[in-house]
Amino acid sequence: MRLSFVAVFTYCAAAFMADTVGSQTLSTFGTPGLVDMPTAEVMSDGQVALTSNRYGNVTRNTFTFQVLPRVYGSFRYGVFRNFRDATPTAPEDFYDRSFDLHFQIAYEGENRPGLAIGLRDFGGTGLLSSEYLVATKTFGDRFELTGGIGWGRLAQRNSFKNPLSVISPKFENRPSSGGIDDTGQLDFGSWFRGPAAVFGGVEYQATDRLSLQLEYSSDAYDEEVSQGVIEIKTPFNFGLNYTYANGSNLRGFVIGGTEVGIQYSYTFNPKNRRVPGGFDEAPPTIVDRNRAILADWNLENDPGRASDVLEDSLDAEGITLEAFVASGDTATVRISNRRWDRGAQAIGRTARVMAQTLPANIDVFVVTTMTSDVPNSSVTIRRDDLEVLETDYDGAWRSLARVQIDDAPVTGREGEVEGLYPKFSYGLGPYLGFSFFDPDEPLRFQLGAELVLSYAPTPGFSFNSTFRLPVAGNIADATRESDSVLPRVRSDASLYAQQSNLQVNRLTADYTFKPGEDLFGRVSGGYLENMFGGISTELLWYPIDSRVAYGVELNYVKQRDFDMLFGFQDYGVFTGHASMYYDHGNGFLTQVDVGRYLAGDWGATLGIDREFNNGFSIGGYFTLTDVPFDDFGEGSFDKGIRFTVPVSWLTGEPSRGGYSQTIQPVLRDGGARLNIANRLYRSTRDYRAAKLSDGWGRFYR
Amino acid sequence: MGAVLPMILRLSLALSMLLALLACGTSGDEDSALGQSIATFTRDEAEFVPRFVVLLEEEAPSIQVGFIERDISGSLLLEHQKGDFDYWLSVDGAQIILENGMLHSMRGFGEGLLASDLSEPMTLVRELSSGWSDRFHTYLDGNDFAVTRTYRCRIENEGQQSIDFYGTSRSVVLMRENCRSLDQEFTNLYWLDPRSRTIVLSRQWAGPFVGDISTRIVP
Repeated sequence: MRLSFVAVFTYCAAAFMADTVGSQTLSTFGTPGLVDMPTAEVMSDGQVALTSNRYGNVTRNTFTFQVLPRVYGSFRYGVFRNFRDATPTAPEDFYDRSFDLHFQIAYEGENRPGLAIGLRDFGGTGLLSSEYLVATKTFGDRFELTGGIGWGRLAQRNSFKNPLSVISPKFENRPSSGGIDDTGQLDFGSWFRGPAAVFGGVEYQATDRLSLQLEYSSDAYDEEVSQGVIEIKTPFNFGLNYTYANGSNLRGFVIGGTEVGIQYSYTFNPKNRRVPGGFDEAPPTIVDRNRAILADWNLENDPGRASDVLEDSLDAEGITLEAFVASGDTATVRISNRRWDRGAQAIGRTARVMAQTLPANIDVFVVTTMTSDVPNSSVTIRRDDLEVLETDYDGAWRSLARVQIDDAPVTGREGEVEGLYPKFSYGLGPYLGFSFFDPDEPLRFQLGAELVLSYAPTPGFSFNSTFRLPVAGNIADATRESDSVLPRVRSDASLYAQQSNLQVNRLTADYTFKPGEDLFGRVSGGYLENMFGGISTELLWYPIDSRVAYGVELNYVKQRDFDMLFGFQDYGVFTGHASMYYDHGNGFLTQVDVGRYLAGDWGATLGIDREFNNGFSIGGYFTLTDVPFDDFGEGSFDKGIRFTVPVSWLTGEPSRGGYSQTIQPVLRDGGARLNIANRLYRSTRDYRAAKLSDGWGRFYR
Repeated sequence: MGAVLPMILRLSLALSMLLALLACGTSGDEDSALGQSIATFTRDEAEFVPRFVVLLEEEAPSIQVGFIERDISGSLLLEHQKGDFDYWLSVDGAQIILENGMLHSMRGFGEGLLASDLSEPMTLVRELSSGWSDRFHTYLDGNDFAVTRTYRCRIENEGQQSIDFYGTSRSVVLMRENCRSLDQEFTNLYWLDPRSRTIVLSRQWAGPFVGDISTRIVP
């Protein structure tokens, strides 16, 4: 029998993922809890929980992310069927988006309970708005007791005077929520105000996989009962939860003694690639110098031969050799990485190929990485270190300590591989796009064919295009017209879908350059994105050894015709931002953009992403501009959550690809930014020192 | 409209993977790689990588390696030798690196064992002596960090045995190595030729992902 690592994987991946037995019980709100009530518990740091349930006429779909060890946040999309009488602008079903935040004040100790405080639906329509303070204590291996006090919706049953009114009488009354008009705004003035009520319950872990929950709920479902959506006969709710080996949970539950529900949830931790070591083919072996392919060649007389061998060997590793220069005991290559999601791995493999190829008198390898045909960083590796540390148990980190990472110098086209330019590439394949949260159809999609063409006649200068032909989907079926009082820079998205056939999504001439040390520049002109075309310029200052970068972008754009071909509408705008990017070094990236947005509004965007070292990231952003909340419309201001899942995380196979999605509760015109395909920070970052160092564990991989 | 979020994920990934199969091109990145997902999950026969074919043609030495929990085994060919280290290559380009027959590292089998320091247990095993030793394993974890783990090991000489070796009886010495760290423990078994001190047969723990492997030299 032949030995196949794929077969090994199939077994091992299943076994490796099976360590989630006994994972957290998730409430109908998709957060650690009993049935409806929260508990003073958190998930593992970084854990993600996706939960969907249905009972009566209610469905809740929740994404929960353990952002920090003590903090988790949730985004929820709920559907209340037959909630009201239908009107021309509002269907009878009610769709509700809500955000939760939970902070663990104290972890459970031997003699004290865990203690937590939380906000439910703190920025939504207010239907689920509530706050809680809750304590949870485990007794023995199987019993867990929870008790808490709630406000807002969690004080609908047997409420009493707010104990916080001893601090201030203003806590006695809870201002009514602004409802749909104020949705999106933080309800600071309502938090922990008004009457309070107690809740509690117990969980019994019958087996490793089966648990039972019984709770006394302070949520009487007043609104739903009055609308006839649900029937409640008792304050007691009951649940039965079964945990599968792959981390998913199936549970049945009864709300109010009458409403039987079913829930499925799946949890996973982005920290863990499905395959920790990957299935990447073993790297080239580092041979003795005297056995290198060109051991007997005199490079000074025939550098072309070395370049040819390196080019072929690197190509087999998914790396393009752009230039080769040998001088004295030093060999320098310029490479572009097509395959490896970690820059350090591409550099490690390049160094191995050089060691396998170049003669013994070459003692120093310099690997210069290229992004968008511009030199990015130069990594200097001593050949001795590469050879000695290959089998050292701490070789990865010892080698990092011995290499030198510099900003790459601009060396022109010295040593360039013959025939490198002009470069032409194309990609033909399918695409899939989504539109979320239209009340008429909350999930819309568009499927079609996509052609990507790129032609670069000289280094840094290129023509890039993307064309799409929609084939199927229902995005174009949207009938809701924009009611925006701002220039309709985004809210006419459905018109673009309806009036286009063959779409010119991008057709640009781009020039990327390096004007000085640690500086990158870009000028783009043409049809920049689906809805706008014009001129875009950008300058980025990114010191090689810094975790901070600064950028400035200036654009003049005009709105494109709805047919997404070559015409423009009348609306034009100068837009641009000053940006700061800060990689905290602990897995968080903060980005601040200050400037003018497409609708001519001035403001700032704050984005924070939790970036796992393996490339998986989950984050969110919000934008506040000088557009009043009332003028912005539903949602009050622009915000969203976003995630990226690397293909290699899913498959274990090497790839630079990934699946990214931004989910905005509402797509409006305020705070809308131009979509540029090749912004400099994202395209250069992988090869700056911080990112290379973070990924150095894969240098010898 | 139930199960929106899980459905979004499932739909996105499933459709993207399916559609990626149709993709083609010469783009700079080898990126239409969601197609690789399908390839990974549906492939049951490994392809011969060119490196392996070259070794096959050269009739390179081979070794039998088995993945015990999976109950599969096969032949790996010797690609490279460097001092005490032997680099054994599988048909599909994965690699096991043995240091005097003891598992030092792996590439491409999914396990993140980057390298090991086996100096202490190796001395005892090759001397056929009992005693205490430390060994160090460095793993690439699921978050791309190289993490070194230390194991305290007790090595015992279990005495001489006769084993069936490719149909003939062979006299060997069994060395047992019991190792533990704060949260892991494993047992390695080595059957050595008492004269050459070569490990002819072994069962060794590779890590939490792959578990135990077996090796058997081919005469």
